[in-house]
Parts: sequence; C-alpha cells; structure tokens
Amino acid sequence: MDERKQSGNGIPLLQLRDLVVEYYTRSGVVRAVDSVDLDIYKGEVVGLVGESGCGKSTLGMALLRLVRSPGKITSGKILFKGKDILTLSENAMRDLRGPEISMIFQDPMTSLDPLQRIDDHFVESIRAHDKHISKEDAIKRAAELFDLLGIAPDRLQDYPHQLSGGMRQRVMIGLALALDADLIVADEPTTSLDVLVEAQFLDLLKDLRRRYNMTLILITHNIGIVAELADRVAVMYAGEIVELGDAGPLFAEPLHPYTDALLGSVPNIKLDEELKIMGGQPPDLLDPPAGCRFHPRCPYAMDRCREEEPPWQEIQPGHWAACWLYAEGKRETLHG
Amino acid sequence: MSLRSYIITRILMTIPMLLVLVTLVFFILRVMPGDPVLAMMRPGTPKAYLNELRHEMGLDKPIMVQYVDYLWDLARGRLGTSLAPVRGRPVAKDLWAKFPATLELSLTSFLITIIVGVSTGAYAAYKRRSAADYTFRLYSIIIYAIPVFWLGLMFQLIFGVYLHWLPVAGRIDDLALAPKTITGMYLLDSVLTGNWPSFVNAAKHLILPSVTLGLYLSGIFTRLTRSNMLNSLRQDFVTAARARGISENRVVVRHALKNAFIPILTMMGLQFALLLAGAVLTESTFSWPGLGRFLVERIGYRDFPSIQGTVAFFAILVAVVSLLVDILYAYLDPRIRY
Repeated sequence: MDERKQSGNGIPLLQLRDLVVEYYTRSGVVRAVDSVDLDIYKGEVVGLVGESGCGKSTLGMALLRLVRSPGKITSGKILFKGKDILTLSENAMRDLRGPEISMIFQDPMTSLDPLQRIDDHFVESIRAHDKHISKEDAIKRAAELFDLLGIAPDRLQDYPHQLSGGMRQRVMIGLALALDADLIVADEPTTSLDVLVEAQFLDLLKDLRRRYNMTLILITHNIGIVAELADRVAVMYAGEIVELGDAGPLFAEPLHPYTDALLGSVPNIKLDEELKIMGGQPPDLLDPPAGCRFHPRCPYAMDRCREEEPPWQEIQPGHWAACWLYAEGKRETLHG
Repeated sequence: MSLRSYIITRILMTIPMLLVLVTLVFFILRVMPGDPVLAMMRPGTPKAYLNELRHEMGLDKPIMVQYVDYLWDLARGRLGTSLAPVRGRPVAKDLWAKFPATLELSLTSFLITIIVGVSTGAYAAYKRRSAADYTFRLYSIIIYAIPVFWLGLMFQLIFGVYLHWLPVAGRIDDLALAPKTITGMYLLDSVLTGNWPSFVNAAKHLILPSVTLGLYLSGIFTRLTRSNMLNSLRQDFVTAARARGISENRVVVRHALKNAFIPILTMMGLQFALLLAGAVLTESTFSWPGLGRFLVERIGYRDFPSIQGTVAFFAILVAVVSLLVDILYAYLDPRIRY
C-alpha cells in the first residue's frame, strides 16, 4: 500500500474533499461530518473509529448518498475513481450502488427483507444491475459465493429468520461480493454478533480481502477489530478527522490526545494497567466548542486550543493529526 | 400445530361466538315493542284474531321454550321460515337469493377501499410532510367522519340527479337485461356468458353504491398504510436494498409496502364486519336488493326468523373472512406458522 501511494500509482479509489454533512433538526443545524478530507487507495482496509455520534456512520452513508432525511450533504466532493458522485443523477447513482460501492450494515438481523428468500435477495440485486443474467445464473452465482462464505448452498432457499446472526452477516458480505463491489463500506459489521461469531467473521473478512484484494472502509468503535484488520486508521471526533495514519504507528504511538485517551480506555485482558476513563462527554454538535473541539476534555489543552482550530498536518511521514501540540515542529510525539 | 388443526380449532371457536350473538338477537327482538302479527295487521284488528295468529306462529309459547326450539333448529342448520310478509317462505332461500347482490357490492367496495386506501397511504408516507401527505391525511379523517348514507345521498344528487351520469337505485334497469344466473353476481355472470350490454348496465348501477361504501372505509386504510409504511421505510432492509442499487419503485413497493401490508391485512379482516354494517346502510340508500336491505325490511316486519338468520349469516361470514385472513397471513409472512 505504501509503495503504491508513494509511487503515485494512479489516483486514489476514493477521495473525500472538504465533505460536509448536516442534519436540519428542530433545534438547529447539526454538522455531523465537518470538512472531512480522506483518500482511500485500492486494496487497503481503512478503519474509521470514534465514539457513538461522532459522525462515522453518517460519513459511511454519505459515500452512497443515502444520508437519511433530515440529513444532507451540503458541500464538498466525493470523488470515486476520479469523478464526483455528488454531481451524478439519481439513476447513475443507483448504478453505482452495488457494483461500485457496497455497504454492510450494523444489524444483519434487520438488513435482510424478512419476507424475501435469501436467493431472491441475490437474484434481485444481480438482475438490478444486469438484466441479461438469468435467474438461474444468478442463483448459481449465489451458490458459489455461499460455498466460499462457508454456508451450505441449500440455505439459499431459507428466509432470513431461519439463519443465525453470523450467517446473515455472511449473506450481507455475499450480496456485496455478488456485485463485485470495488469498495465495501462496513458499518459496525460485528457489533451485533457474539464474540465467537465475530472472530469467525473477521477471519472470513481477512481471507476475502486476500482473495479479492478488497478495498474496505471499516466503520467501528471497536478498536480491537480495527487493530486486526486495518492498514490505516482514521480517528473521528465530533464530526472531524483528528488523526490519520498507518495502523501500526498509530496504535503504538498515537499523536492526538483523543486517540491516546481512546486507546487507553480499551480494557486489557491482563489487567496489569488500570483502565483509563476518558472524562467528559462528546460535545453537542449543535453548538460545538470553539477552537479544537476536544479541548474541554483534553489534558494537554492550552489557551490556543480554546481559540483557534488546530492545523491538519503531517507530523511523521504518512501520519497526520490536527493538534496544536505539534505546531511549529516543537514536538514529534505525544509522550516524547 | 398444523394448519389443519388450526383451522379446525378456529371453526370450533366460532361456535360460542355465534351462540352469544344469536342469543342476544333472539332476546332483543322479543324485548322490543311489537311483533310480526302487530306489524302485519291493521290497527283495530280484533285481539282474539291476533292471538289466534300468534298461536299459529308459536309466539304464545314461553320464551325459553321458543329459545330452545330455535337453538335446536339452528344446531341442525335450519333457519326456519318467514313469519311476514310472506308466511312460510324458508329464510335460507331468501338469504341465498339476496347474498350475491351483497357479495358483489362488498367485493367491489372492498377493492376500492384497498386500492384507494393503500395507494394514498403509501404515497403520503413516501412523500412525508408534502402537500399530498397533508391532503391525504385530511381526506382520511373527513371521509371517516362522514356518515355513509349521507355520502351516498350526495353522490346520488350529484351524479344522478344533477349530472344524469349514473343510475341511483337498483342493480339493473330491467330484469330482462340481467345475465343468466351462474353466481348471482351480475358483473361476473355477464362476463361468463359474454353478455356485454348487461355488463355495462350492471356496472353503471354498481358504481355509485360501491364507490360510496369503498371510499367511506378507505380513510382507515389511508391512515393505517401511512403509519406502517413510514415505519417500514425506516427499516434497515429498505436502506440496504437501496444500497444495493435496487430501483426506487421496487424498494418502495416490493420491500417497504409488502412489509407494511401485514398489519393492513389484519385490519382488512377486522374491517370486514364494518363493511357489512356499511353495506346495510348503503343498500338502503341505493335500493340495492341485497342482504342489508333485506334485513332492514324484515326488521320493519318484525320477521324474527329472517332477522336472526341474517345476523347469524353475517356472523359466519365475518368468522370465515377472519379465518381466511389468518391463513393468508401465514402465506405472506414466512415467520408465521401454525
């Protein structure tokens, strides 16, 4: 991945430029995604982490232009393979959903139509994008995928309620694979699965990404699965990306105090360190704090943080953060 | 429990319901002032003659004896014979003769109810908070609040009296025009026999009563469909289907509406009783020769066996429809098994 980026091998698969998503609520306008810039390269897995309500799911939905009302993408660009999908017609957008960008949702229990058989989900999805494929061929394709996903193909005739949660989530992956999506956005794909099933599912994802060179955006609050799967990690706080870097360095040496606090609050099974609890609450996005949005909770906060928004800068090669601690090159690590 | 044993249980469960209903009707009729003899005879008829007639009809027996006799007949499937205006005419024969007209009116009305109610409700939900949404919501309240006979009278006035577009009474202009009886439903029979003049004539007669009754009931379905549709449009599988690039029409109809339809189906079963009640009023307004008008007419005559028979027949009809709805339910929703 790094070589690709450095050698400038083509443009990124997905580029977000200054993306803003706002919700028009009764009490005012909420900026759920605030001026986000992000590049995703082909074949990489990018973890998008943050607390609940930080805008990560909204960002995921925005990539398919499916932000629910009263939410709206108000400005910015989403360049997919170089063209801005925000300028596409609704029909062109529909062609893109599925074969180009696909999505896996949080709750596999509710993501399948309870009145539709599994095979009909496949037939419907495949034929929505290519009418020339016969029903039989579509089912054959689904059966092959089931084989790959480790589900007996005769379960295709089942209704969603007849499958377990893990199976259903595999079906959701299968639906994304059936259309050969170039980019898969997985929004909390394991949140509703139990630990064992989650582990199986992660193994499956690893296997699939090797096999298909899958590009995946993994939206989650679960640091563990990001650590296991992601090449790069973007940390979101209050609608903004505050840190971005390769997974290894980012976990080993986080730059942004928020990332540091987030990682510190993950329980460690050895219990050799005391769990650090992050104080305070995420800010009210109706009225976000001035300057750096994290400053009310930040142990390193300075006067400047309360007034000016910190600059987004590359502090170490490929490792970006928005924090005043690193302004003017004074510091290169948080604890250093 | 298999479907068969479910059906059998349900049928057995209708027996106590029917018993309570016929008992109520039986006693209410006899508590009400007047009896068939008084209703039939002119004022001033000698009391002795009236009593003689009562004796002939068995109305002078103790009421409990009459009740037990009636139940015993009913248990053997006998609905008895009319007391007035034509004595001795089997009630079952009358019911059977009037039923097709009511069935034709009910089915057409229900079709209109469902088409209007579901489509306006689904559209209102889809275009939530739009002008169309507010219009349909207002429509649903107004139409529900309007008395059905008043709506019928207005239609008669506008489309019959002022515009002369449609006939305001009866099922057909001339009985000679009626199609050969197969089912007794004129529209269906005229299609089956290829009798187009009679089809057109019968259809014209059917429009006003069925639209009246159909629109009257559609308000409930507009509201019900709207709320269920709003709920199902919010479901994850709808978003997931959109995220797979499935066309908007298909997402809305095949996924959202189909899922919203299950509670609507339940409501259809429940509203069937209301449909029959509405049919009684509509038939009277439009002189539609069906069971409803028959019932009203026989109440005037205090023709106890006919009234009891019609009520029992309606009750069985409602029970059958709600059973059918439950079976359909299981067919529509794979999660439901009996």
